[in-house]
Amino acid sequence: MTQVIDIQSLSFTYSKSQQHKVLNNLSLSIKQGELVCLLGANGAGKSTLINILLGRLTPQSGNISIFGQQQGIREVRNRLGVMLQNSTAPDKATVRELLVLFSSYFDHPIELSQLISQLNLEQIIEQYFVTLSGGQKQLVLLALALCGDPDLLFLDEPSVGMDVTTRRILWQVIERYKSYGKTIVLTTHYLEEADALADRVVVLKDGAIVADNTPQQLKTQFSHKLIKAKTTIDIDELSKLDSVVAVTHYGRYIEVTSQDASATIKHWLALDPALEDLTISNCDLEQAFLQITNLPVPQEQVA
Amino acid sequence: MNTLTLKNVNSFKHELLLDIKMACREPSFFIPTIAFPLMFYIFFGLLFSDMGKGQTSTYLLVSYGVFGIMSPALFGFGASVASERDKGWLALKQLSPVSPWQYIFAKLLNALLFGIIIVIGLFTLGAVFGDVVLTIGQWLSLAALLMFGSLPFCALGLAVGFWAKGKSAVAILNLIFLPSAFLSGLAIPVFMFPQWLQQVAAIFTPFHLSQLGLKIVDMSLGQSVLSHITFLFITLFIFSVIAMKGYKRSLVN
Repeated sequence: MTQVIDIQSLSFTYSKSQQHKVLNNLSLSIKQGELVCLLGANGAGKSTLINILLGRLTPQSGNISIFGQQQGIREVRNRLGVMLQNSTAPDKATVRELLVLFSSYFDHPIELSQLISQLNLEQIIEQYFVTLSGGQKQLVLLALALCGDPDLLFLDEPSVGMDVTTRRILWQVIERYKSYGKTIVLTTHYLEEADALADRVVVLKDGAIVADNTPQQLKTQFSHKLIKAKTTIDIDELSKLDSVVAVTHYGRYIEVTSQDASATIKHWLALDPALEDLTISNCDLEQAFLQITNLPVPQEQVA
Repeated sequence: MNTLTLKNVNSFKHELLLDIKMACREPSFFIPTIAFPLMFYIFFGLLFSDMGKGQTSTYLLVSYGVFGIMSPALFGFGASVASERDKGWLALKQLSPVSPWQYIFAKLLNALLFGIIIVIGLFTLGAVFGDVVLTIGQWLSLAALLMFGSLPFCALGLAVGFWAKGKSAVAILNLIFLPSAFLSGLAIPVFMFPQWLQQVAAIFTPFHLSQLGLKIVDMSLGQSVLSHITFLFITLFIFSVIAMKGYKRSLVN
């Protein structure tokens, strides 16, 4: 498949005197039709990377091409759909007016009626932008990103402020565009969303890529298990057991994160033979992410 | 016309119409912008006019004409750019294939349109109720002067709009608008100023535009036309450069 984004040894600092590099010798290529989710803690370099890809920031070194062309030129922008984190539309314009205007910017816009029905905008199409709820505003901004029929979509935190209904529409639309063979770059704080949608998860830390894999692989790669049970043993004692990474209260239960579930359970049962309601489960993407980036796992603060 | 040009024209039409509609949906913008110059003119130019024979009403027609076109140029143009930049709407446009000239030029035309409405309103009041008698040539050159004279204020508004945040842009523009209008002799005629204050007036752009207008109706202080025009062009140039730098900065922020 053809490459849509190609980044070679990209480095970026905000001021030349600074030793600290926001992006450090980063290389990444994204193929057509891939849905890549960029993850990283605040300050990891996600926004900087996106702004460079969009042509808003110029890197000090490295090569970037989008569709084999230079980022930021008109030909590239014509094939790009963008949803930015801090961008909204003017208050006193109706949804239809915004869509008609934005569609007119692109060479080959999508049929407006199609877009309206895909995103369930019929009810709000004649309303002023300012009167919409947070989730509806996000849907309209998504519609603006889609109206040029883009080949590459940048969605920066699209589900912020969305309720269950609007988020379901967002997910459906993303799935549909993926099935059309469009390339999508997504950032999100909901790891559940990354897990559900992404083909690839790219984790940034200190301006470098520390993991790049499918959500499934990432979860098994960091194959800690979660053990949950009712027990009489207190937290301090449990945290001293073999292979235990973290211990926390979970309602009436105790939850133990372990690198070796069978070893931990063997010792736990020896201490508390009356152990009740025992369940073992895999880590979710969030725990994998926390381990990859070596952030303090929240459980440890409790334990 | 080929299809691409037709498409561009169409896009520009949408841009301009939406700008006009949005301005008309903000009564807090268009009511003071249009009503204040007309209201001031009715009070000071028509009701309190005691010089007779249309002297005061003619003089103040020029003053409030300048006052009138300043407000849409500064606020309709500059402050609205600042607010769209704050909302990130400008960023979305910058990332789309549209040329920045399209939305800047649409906003410029929008400001000029409001300017024309104010000028026509003032001219009608002056001619019908104020005994203002001018030749067709004088009416037309005064109107044209006020339109071209909007441009330096548009540039100033745009410069502030690109550099200041939305709410503070309005505050800064107000700080520029009223004092420079008063000190330029738009409220109290400049010939009534003490000598030193007349010299102060000469550093403000509205003073030079109003002197050019007064020249058309033979009421100026008699300073050189060239110096007034030069001053307006310098203002236009300086603030256009500042606005352009601000635009480049807004690409990143």
